Amino acid sequence: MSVDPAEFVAGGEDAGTVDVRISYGIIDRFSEGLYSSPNKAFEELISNSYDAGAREVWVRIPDSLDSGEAALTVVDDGISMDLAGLQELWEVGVSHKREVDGEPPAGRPPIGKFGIGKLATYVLAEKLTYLCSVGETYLAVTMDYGRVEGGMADPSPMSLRVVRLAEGDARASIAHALGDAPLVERLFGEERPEAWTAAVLTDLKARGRGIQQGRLRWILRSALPVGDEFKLWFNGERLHSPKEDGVRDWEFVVGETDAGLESWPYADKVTADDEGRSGVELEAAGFVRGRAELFEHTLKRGKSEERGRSHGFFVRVRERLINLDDESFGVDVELHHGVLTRFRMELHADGLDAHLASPRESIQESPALEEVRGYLLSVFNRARAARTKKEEKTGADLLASAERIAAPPPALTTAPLRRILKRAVEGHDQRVGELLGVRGEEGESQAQEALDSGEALLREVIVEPLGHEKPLVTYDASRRAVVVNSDHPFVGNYLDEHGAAEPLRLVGATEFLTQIYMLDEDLSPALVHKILTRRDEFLRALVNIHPRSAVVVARQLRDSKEYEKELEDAVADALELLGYEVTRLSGNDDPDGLARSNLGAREIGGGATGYLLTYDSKSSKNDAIKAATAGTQTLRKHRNKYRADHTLLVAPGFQGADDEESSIAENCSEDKVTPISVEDLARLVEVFPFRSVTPESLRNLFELHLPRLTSQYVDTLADADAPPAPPVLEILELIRELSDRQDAVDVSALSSRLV
Amino acid sequence: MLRGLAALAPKTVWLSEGKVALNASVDVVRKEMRASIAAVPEDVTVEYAASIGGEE
Repeated sequence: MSVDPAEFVAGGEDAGTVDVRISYGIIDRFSEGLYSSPNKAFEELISNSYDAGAREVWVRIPDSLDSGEAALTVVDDGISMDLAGLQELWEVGVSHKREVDGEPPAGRPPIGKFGIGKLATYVLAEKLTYLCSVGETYLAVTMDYGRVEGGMADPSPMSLRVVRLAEGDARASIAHALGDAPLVERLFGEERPEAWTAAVLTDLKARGRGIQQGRLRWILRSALPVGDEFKLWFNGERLHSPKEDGVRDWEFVVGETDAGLESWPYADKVTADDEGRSGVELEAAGFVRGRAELFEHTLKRGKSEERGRSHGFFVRVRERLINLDDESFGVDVELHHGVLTRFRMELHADGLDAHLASPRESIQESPALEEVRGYLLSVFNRARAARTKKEEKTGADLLASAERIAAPPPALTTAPLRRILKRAVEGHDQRVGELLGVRGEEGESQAQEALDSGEALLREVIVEPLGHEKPLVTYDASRRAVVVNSDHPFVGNYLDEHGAAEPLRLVGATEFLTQIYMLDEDLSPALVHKILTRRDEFLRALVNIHPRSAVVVARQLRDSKEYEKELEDAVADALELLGYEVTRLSGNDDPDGLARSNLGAREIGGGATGYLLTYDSKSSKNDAIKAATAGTQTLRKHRNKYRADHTLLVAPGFQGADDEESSIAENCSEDKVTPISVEDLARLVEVFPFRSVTPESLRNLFELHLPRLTSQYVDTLADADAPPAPPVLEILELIRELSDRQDAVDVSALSSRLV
Repeated sequence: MLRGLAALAPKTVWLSEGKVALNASVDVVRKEMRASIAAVPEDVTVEYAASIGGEE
């Protein structure tokens, strides 16, 4: 089967053929299954350029890869190939690197060693064309993967036709593929390289079209030994090895630093390689060299899948990165992830070459690998110690004036807060600021001022009202304070407890710092928010089963009028507080609940005077509900179902409440429903301790079936002359006295003593 | 009456099933009651507030 050069190759005359024996089975074995991403497959082409001694490589990826004309191109100025070279190139599974007098070009040890790099292109495109320039000779040849036939055992022969191009045709061909006039001029102009090779991928497959420029750019500059000796251009932009702009706090040069450390197991292993570079000679892994750095700020920004990482360990074998996506390289640093994201270590360990698995995306477990990991961990631990030491010098914090707690080290307070506050101010992620309570220009300005001051960022913990629905804690940069929200139900329920203030403040500070720690460990702000929301729900739920005061229940009613379940709970709580025995129901055909009044005997010989009421609540974002929403007929059915005496309906308000001829008034009257607004029920709860309100006295309320009348009932109650105040002190003293003799006082015994 | 008292000091006055007990000293109960009373309009609470005495 003869394969002609691709369509974009202009002109040309026969120069010979390249015979290839290849099959889908071979390709599958050597290429497709081995490359986890199209970007990695593309990287193989550039590895070939490096191995060819290239000093400059130009990569061209068009912005749109969806066009049928789109081509991916890699051009290098390494030694190129003549007809014999092309024939060697296509000896599948045999690595004939481009060589000069039997030596690797530019003296570089090859970084691709399996002879399959070119086959990786199979996952990207149907056609791979090589355009080769050596002196005045230009050759072109195309592999058409779409025409490969035969199984693993019977690869079908293919004959790739090689054409020799005139310079004009070669120029037109490469110009068509590149669409990059300056580069074409570079290849054919006065400063043209002595030789160059272009690998052009056309008829792109889905995975080829899926190449992401940003991700590929990062892979190339991170994974390959980019530098002055190997310049890499990506769509006209020179790629540099990732170097961070951040402030470097600490540095460790393998070999040099090892030599100067006391009690350091690697100090006596320091040596140098043939080029005089310092390093350490490990027993199994051999010579390693490199450098570690620790930065003030995290190097982890954005989504790593899009931008790649800049932190962690970068282990290179023959200059090529072997742990692209594995920041820890299997080193046990999980507990110190906050340090790892500020840490970067490059280690050249060519001794691991024998343990690499094809195609350098994995490495076999071995004593040499363990030895390298051990060394990496040792250096990392020095970085961690250096960071702790620095943080301890940052200055003391005053978290609490109470003498019973120690001042925590700044490494646990100001230092992480400073880092997160900077993130909030720098605006990389708005949600960080929102979590901290740093909002708007004023908030950012205050935070920046706090940072610039160089003072401790946590001077005190303040308790003050922020709103019932607001978080438990927030940060006030202007006062350098954690603010605990006294309106939060959890805080509100304990704040007046003797001795509770200090633990509450410490809980608040801990809550705030936990949030900081999570952000400092690079949990996403969205995830931190989710965790804190759940924790907040838990704290609020804890308060909900704690006995509440009339004031708290009244506030709960007012706060929940827009929320169905919350209002339902609040009404139940209110009725319990007023003295009813409440049963909460949940069936579709049931009311929200039943409230039973067990009044006992009013007088000797009298019968029990208890009554039962069904209750329902209708939440609404509006101030008043319509008659249809009230559904009084259904409420009547509920009453009948439970043979209750009365029916209570609680809602934010009722449309036409003051009009006795309104639908709501007529329906409530007709169905004997007692409508009461949330506000009136809340007021009732507030005043009942001061007006001797009991379930018995409230029975009159349930005889009222107009919103206006129930509102008047509460008004009258609140405005009425107060009954004689109970002898509170006497009662309390009596309870205390009787409690000395028994666990709890029987109410009837108490009553008899008071008479 | 006891129910009202417990509603003003739910943390320090325990009332259930016909039994009553204090979970704190009388002074602490009074403090909790005063805090609850302070949140309600004064014209409603003035007599009651007087009955438990001012801050010691």
